[in-house]
Amino acid sequence: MRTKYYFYKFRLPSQVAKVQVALETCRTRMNIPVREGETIEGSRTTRNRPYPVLKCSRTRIHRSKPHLPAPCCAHMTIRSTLTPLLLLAPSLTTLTSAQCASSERDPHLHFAHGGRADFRGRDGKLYTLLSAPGLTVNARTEDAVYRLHTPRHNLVINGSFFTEVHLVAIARPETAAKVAGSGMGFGGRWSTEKRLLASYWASELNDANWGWRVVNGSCSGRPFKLGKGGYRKCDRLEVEVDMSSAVFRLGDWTVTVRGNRVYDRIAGPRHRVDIHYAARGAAVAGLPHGIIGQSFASSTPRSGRVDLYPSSGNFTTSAMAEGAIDGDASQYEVGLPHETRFAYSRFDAAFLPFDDSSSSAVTLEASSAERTPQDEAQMRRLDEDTPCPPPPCPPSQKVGDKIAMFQTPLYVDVAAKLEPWPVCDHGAGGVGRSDCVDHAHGEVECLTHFPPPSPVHTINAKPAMRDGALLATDVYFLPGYEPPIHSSIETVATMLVACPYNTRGDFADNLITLLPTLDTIVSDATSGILHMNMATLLQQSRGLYTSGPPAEPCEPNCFDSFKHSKNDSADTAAWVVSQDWSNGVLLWQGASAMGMLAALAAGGHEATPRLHGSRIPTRAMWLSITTNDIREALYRQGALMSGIIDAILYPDFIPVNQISLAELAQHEGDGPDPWWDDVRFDDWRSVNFPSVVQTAWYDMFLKGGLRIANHYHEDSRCGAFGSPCSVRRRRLKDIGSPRRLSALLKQPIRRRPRPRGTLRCPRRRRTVSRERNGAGADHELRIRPSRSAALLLPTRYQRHPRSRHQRGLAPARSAVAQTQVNRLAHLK
Amino acid sequence: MLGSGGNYLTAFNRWPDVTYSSFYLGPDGGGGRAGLLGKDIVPPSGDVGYYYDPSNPAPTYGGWIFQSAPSPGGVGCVDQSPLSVRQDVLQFNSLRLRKELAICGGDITATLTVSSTANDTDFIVRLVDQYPDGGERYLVAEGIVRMRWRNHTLVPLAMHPEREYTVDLDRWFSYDGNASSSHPTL
Repeated sequence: MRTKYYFYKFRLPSQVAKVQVALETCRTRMNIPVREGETIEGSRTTRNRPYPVLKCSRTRIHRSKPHLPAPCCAHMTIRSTLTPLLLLAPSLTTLTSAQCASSERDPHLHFAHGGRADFRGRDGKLYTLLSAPGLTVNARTEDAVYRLHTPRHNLVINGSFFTEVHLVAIARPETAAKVAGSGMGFGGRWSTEKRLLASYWASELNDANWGWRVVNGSCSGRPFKLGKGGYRKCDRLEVEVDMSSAVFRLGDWTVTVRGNRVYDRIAGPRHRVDIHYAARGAAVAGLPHGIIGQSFASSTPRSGRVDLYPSSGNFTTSAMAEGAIDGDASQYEVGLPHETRFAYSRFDAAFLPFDDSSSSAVTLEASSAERTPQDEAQMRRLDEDTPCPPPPCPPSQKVGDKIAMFQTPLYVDVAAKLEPWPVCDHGAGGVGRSDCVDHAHGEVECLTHFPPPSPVHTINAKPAMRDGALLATDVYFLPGYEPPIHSSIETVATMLVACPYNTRGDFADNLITLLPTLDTIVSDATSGILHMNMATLLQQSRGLYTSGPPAEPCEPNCFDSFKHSKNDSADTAAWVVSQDWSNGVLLWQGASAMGMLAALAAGGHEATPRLHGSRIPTRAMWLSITTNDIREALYRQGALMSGIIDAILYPDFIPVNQISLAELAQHEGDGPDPWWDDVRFDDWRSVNFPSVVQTAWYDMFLKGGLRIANHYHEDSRCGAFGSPCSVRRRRLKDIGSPRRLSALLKQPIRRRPRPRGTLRCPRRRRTVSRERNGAGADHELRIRPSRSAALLLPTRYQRHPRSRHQRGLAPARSAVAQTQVNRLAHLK
Repeated sequence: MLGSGGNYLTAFNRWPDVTYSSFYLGPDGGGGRAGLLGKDIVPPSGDVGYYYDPSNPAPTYGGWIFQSAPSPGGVGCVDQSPLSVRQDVLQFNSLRLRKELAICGGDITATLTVSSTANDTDFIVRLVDQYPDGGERYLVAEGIVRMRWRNHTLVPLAMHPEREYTVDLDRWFSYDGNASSSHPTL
């Protein structure tokens, strides 16, 4: 079995760069000096103008209020006052109240039991601030020059700030149980440890002090990115991003990272982070260490060296928390963002489950004020010798809970919210490793090696379209699957995603991991009976990134505004069904822009010689927050939506130099402009597949989504499954019990050899079905067990051994799956 | 078909039957920026006007789930009450709803009869849910029309200052607040 690792590449200051460009242009245009404390903001607008213009405005920065100490210590104070006994026994208070520490501004450290120190750090180096069993917090210091202008001070400070925070936390420790893979011949021992890696990047904050990608990381190897308002749960760990602050709730530890501007900056980073640490309950029993963390482990105040600022002039900070920390600062330096080992590392010490209350006895002793070094060593040994049993994997959820995931919230009440999805994950946990290179000051390029969720086989191809354009196309397979070289191995269905955004960038990662995730859900929901053994195809839209039009180079404006999208979809479909690994079944899926391209693909059946004149053999479609008319993504009753254009013109979305805004502006309006015909799908009668369409009240494509769903429902012809085509909902009883599915699937399904060219015409069948069901009747749109089985798993049939040249052409292969559907229907 | 309360998941076999209601805009007689929104009752006729300065556009509060610029309060269902103090936003208030009102689907439209001294401008209509205490006003839907494209023509049509125009705004959004700008979304 071959294994391929992905390289997840991202460039940090990408969003900042865009703002910079706007700012520079504004400065030039306004031709006025920028006064201190003032910013100039730039944004594109087309208000009352036929072309986009840059809009500049001046705003005065409001200085933030003086920092107040974090309120989490108040609880302890009150308790101590009320109960004098507790004052004498600080260790008791640690059991019941929160303690906090912080590192703020030009890093001033405030320790858990009082005392403070200043910390400069070496430029660009990473330091471990907190190291507890199963948890590490590292932060990077960057030198900065700024002006400190207060009633007491007027000086230029050459200091430093924390600009990045990196966390590693074990969400669930490894268990001894071996989890064998099942189905499709892949298996083996997977790690059961679940590990959260997360990073907060101050450089991702924009001038308004927020960002879309402030936090990134991985949960058990599955990458995620969080920006304003983002939330991610990783087992029992939570990450929540507000505007500029991120809260990491790691069991008894809560780490709050707050991004802020560097006010009156002269040189160095534009944003800094302040970090607050709060420990509750048994957290201190793990004897945490690290520059800040060690203050939680002992109950005495720590006072170290502080920088004493003069009242004016220039000042260079130099304190490195001497006197407040064990050893010296260099012993806390780590090489990599997510490194957990350093001189005093506690990360690998016995793992204490975060919510385990049985460790209180240990806590009492461990945090005693009169502890000696020998006692401490003894405690650590005790900890390591008696590891707590990891929390058990929650019992398998009821199947019904999981099937609910498939329900489309088409009719969801305005504010309805689904609860987070409880899945017991057995995926391979992995440690991400990042290598960062400093190109220039403020510009860091990181290459993070995230192990994929599981080994995945990949094909990178560039199929030629009818006009010769080569479109970059990547095909991903499930773990353990290798494309058949000989015909004796199973072929698979293909899930196609046409994508204008960078298919090799971090945007695509979620799409790549979609199939393994779905497989986990499906196999969990069906007790391992069903698997989504399919291929995910990710295609770069024409004229963007590595996908070329026929004549290269063509910069700028390679991009064809999706005008060839229908034909490209047909040609890609023809390429897919001619591949060795394809069984001819195609599923389209997409949200937003990808959904628009998927919707267009349904109309790409005309004049497709490679498919012998037949339409794209689409078997199902999933669309979300999307529309059938790309014009609606740009104009709303004649008004250009400059907000959305601003939002997608990021380097990892659509490169700004490849879009002709002038051309789009020429086709402003609300009239019947034929220029848009190529990017609209309204051939509803050609739809012959089931689909799921998702939208929501505040979805900007609500109208388009409803239009698609209603037309699919009312105007499309009956689908390949002999039922009305739009699948609006699925219910548990529709899917059937795992036992029933199992009984169905035990029936071997063999491919009947079919002479070439005698493709069974689906139209006839549809006619019959339509008569039976009655057009426009009140359809009960249920997926019967046979149908859902076919939809989820159109591949578990034995392929008839034939030599390659005898194998049927693509449409014949799709008929194979049709046969299988019929077979399953008969079984029912 | 929709039950009372909220925050639940429900399903139908087909699109729910819709009962359309008409609300009419009209002045409240006070001569100010406020007006009346009458359900099935046509208020007395008259004009309500405002001055719009393109260099000082009304900010966007919430709305579509796709905005690049930091809209105060985020996207979606956001309190519109900061707009109440603006001189270029008109308010039309209905009587207090006596019972819960469920709104389903996309077909919310508005018809405005407008005139302007400019030869082109935008009109934005927002339907908001005003809380009983008169405080928060939460966005339900909003719509825009750019007057030069009001007739869905291929070439832009300028407005004549002396003339009145009747325009339709589509679901994307409609009533109760009326302004000429929503920056930076549009």
